[in-house]
Amino acid sequence: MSVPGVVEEWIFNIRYPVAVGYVVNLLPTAAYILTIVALLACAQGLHRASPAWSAVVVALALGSRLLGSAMMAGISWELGSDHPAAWHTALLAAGLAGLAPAAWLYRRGDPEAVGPVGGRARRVRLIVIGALAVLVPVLLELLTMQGMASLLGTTWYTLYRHKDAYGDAIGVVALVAVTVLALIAGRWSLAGALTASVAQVAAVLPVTVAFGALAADDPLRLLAAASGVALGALVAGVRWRVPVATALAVLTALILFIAYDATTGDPEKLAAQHVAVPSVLILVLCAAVGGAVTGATAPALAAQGALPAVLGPLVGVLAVGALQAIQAIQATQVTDEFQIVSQDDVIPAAILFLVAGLAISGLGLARLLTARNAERKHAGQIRRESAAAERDRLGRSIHDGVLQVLALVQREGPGLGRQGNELAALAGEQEVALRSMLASEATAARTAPERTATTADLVGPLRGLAAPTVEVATPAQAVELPSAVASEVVAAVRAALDNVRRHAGADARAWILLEEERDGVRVTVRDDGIGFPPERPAEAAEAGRLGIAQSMRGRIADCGGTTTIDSRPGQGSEVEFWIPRAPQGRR
Amino acid sequence: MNDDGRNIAPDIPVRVMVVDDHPIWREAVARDLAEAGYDVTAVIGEGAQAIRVAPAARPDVVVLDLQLPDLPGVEVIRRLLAADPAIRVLMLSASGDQQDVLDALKAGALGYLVKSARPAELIEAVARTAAGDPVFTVAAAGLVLGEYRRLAAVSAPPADTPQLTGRETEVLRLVAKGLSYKQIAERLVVSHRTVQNHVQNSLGKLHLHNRVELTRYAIEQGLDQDA
Repeated sequence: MSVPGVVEEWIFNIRYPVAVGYVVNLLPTAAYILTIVALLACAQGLHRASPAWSAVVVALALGSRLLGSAMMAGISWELGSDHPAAWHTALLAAGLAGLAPAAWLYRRGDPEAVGPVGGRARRVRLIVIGALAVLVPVLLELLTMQGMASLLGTTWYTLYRHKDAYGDAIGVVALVAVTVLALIAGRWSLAGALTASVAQVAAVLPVTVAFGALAADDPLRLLAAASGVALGALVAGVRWRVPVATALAVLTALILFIAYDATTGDPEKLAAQHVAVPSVLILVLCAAVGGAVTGATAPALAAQGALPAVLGPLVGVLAVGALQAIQAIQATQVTDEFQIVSQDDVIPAAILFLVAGLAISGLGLARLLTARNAERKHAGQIRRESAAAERDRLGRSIHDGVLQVLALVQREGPGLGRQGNELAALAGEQEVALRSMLASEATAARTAPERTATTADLVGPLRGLAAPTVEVATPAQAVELPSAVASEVVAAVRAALDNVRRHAGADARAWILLEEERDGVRVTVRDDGIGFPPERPAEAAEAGRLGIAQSMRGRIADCGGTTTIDSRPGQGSEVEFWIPRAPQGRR
Repeated sequence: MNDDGRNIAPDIPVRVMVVDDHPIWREAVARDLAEAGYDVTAVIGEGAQAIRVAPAARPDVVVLDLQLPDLPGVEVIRRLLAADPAIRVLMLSASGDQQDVLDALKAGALGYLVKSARPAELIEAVARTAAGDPVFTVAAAGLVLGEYRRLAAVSAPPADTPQLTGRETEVLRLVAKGLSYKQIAERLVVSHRTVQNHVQNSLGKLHLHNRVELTRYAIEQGLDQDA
C-alpha cells in the first residue's frame, strides 16, 4: 500500500506532497472505523431494548466491513485506483454523519447496562482510547517499508524481497498497540476486541481465495457474501449465539482443512480452476463466522458501555493491520486474473478460526459466571435487607411492650415503698441499656448499606455508652470518620468516662456531646464531679498513672487531633477531643 | 411567648390533653397531672382521635407520645398546630429514634422528654411548656445543634436558611453538655431569662424555617390550588 515513490502519483497521476498522500491513504481506514463506531453506537443504544438487537447490528457492521475490504480489493484491482477513493470518501462522510447521534447516545450512557459506563472519568477514558485506536493506522501508514527497514536494522530492498516479514511486522505493531489500548479500557474490552478481531483476520484470506474463484460479474459472489453476512447477523440475534458461533467457527476451520487436503495442499487451485461450490461454502461460512463471533462478543461489551468507543476502533485497526500485511504480501502475487494467496496462509486461517471459536466460548462462559456471581450477590443483599427489616420489627415490638413497662415500673415504683424504689432503679438501668442498644442497632442498620469498609459511624457507638448517669447528645444523622479513627475516638471517650467513674466522685453524672463541624468532629465529655486543679493530669502522667494522658491524648494525637482538658475544683471537668477531617474525607 | 396572659393567672388551671396508646401509662400521667392541679381535659389513645377531640377539649398543653399506632407523631403535631397554633406540645418518647425526635421538634413541638422521666420532672416540664419555655433535654439540644450544622453544611445554602448566632450556639452547646439554665447564666454572666430567650430563639427559627419549607413545598406541588 505504501511503497515509496508510488504515493505521490497515486491519484490522477499528479504529483502532490507526501503528507497529502498519507491523508489519502488513511481515508479508507478512517472511513471504515468511523462507520463501525457509528453503527456500534447505534447498537449500544439498541442494547437498551434487547442485547440480541445490538448483537445483530454489530454483526452486520463488522461482517459487511469484512466483505467490504475483500470486495474493495477486488474493485481496486478491476476498476483502477480512483473509484475506491471516491467510495471511501462516501463511507467517511456516512461515518462522520453517524458519529453525531453516536456521541449523543454515548454521552447519556446506558442506564440499563449491567456494568454502567461509569463516571465521567471512565467515559472520557474510553473515548480517548477509541480515538487513540483510530490513530494507530497513522502509525501503520508511517511505517513504510523504508521506515520498517530502518526500525529492523536492515535495508529496504531486503524487506522488499521478504514481504512476509514486512507484513508480519505491521501485524505485530498493530497487535501490540491495540492490545495495550484495550488493556487500558479494561479486561472485557480486551477480551472482546481480541476475540472479534481474531475472527475478522481469520476470515480475510479464505474470503479473498473464494472471491478469486468466482468471476467478477458472477452474481453468486455478492449473493454468497450477503447470505454469509445475513447468517452471521441471524446467529448473533439468537439466544444461543455463543455456542452457535463457536460451532460455526469450528466448522469453518474443518472446511478449510478439508479444502487444503482436497487440493493436496494447494488451495489456490480453487481459484485457478473456478471451483464454485466449495468457494461459495467458504465465502458464506467465513462471512458468517466473522459476523457471528463479533456479534456474540457485543452483549458482554455493551454491558460495559465499551461497545462504540472501544470495540469498533480496535477491531477495525486490527483487521486493517492484518489487511495491510496481506496486501503487502499480495503485491508480488497479483496475476492478471486474481490474487493468489500463498498456500500456507489457509492453514493459519483455519487455526485462527479455531482460536476464535475457543475465545468466544471462553468469553461467553466468563460472562455467564460473572452474571451468576452478580445474581448471588444480589440475593445476599436481599437476605441482609430482610434481616435488617426483621431487626426493625423486633425493635418496634420491644419498644411497644418491654420499654413501656420498664418506664412504668420506674415511674410507679417509688410510690410503693423501699422495695418499689429498688425495683424502679433496676427498671431504669435496664431501660437505658435496652434503649441505647436499640439506638446503636438502628444506626448500624441505617448506615450499613451505603457505608464502605473504610468509614465508620460515631453516633451509634457513642449512644451505646448511655447509662443511668451518662447522657448522650448527637446529631440525628450518622457522623462518619475513617474506621480506624472512629474506633480510636470511641476508645478515648470510654477512657474519659472511666476517668469520671474513678475520680469524679460516686454520684457524678456525665454528658457526651458529639458535633460535626465543617472541617472536623468534636466530642466533649463533661462531668459534674469534684473536678481537679488544671495541673493534675500532668502530675498523674509524671507519677506513672498514664491513664488519662496516654489513653486519651495519645489516641487522639495519633489521629491528628487534639485534646483539651479543662477543670476547676468543685466544678466538674470537661474533656474535649477535636478530630480534623482530612481534606478529601468529607462525604 | 408567655406574655399573651393566657396561663399566667394561677386561678385558671392549665388545660392538658394526654395522648398515649398505653392505657396504664396515660392514666398514671393523667392522675399525676390532676394531683398537681392541672385540668386534664382529655385522655386519648390514638392520634386521629386526638386531632378530632382537640377543638372541643381546647388544651393549652398536649402531652404526646411520639409513637402512636395510627399516625406518626410528627403528623399529629403538624395537624394539631395547624388547627390551633396556640397549642403547646410536649412530646414523650420511649425509645426515641433520633430522626423522629428531630422531625417532631422541627414540626413545632416545644419540648422532649424520655418516658422514664420521674413524675416530678414531667410535671415541671408541663409547667414550662405551658409557659412557652422549651423543655430541652441534653439529647434534644444535640439534635437541634446538629440540624443547624447540617443546614449550614449544604454547599450553597439558600438565603433563608436559619443560622444560630454565636451566643445561641454557645448556649445550645452548654445545654447539650448537661448544664442547667442557672449554671449557663452564671458561666456566661447573663440573666436566666436571657438564656431562656436564646434557647427559645434557636427552636423558634427552626419552626419558622420548617413552616416556610412546607409552604414552599406545597406551592411547588400545586397543593395550594387544591385547598
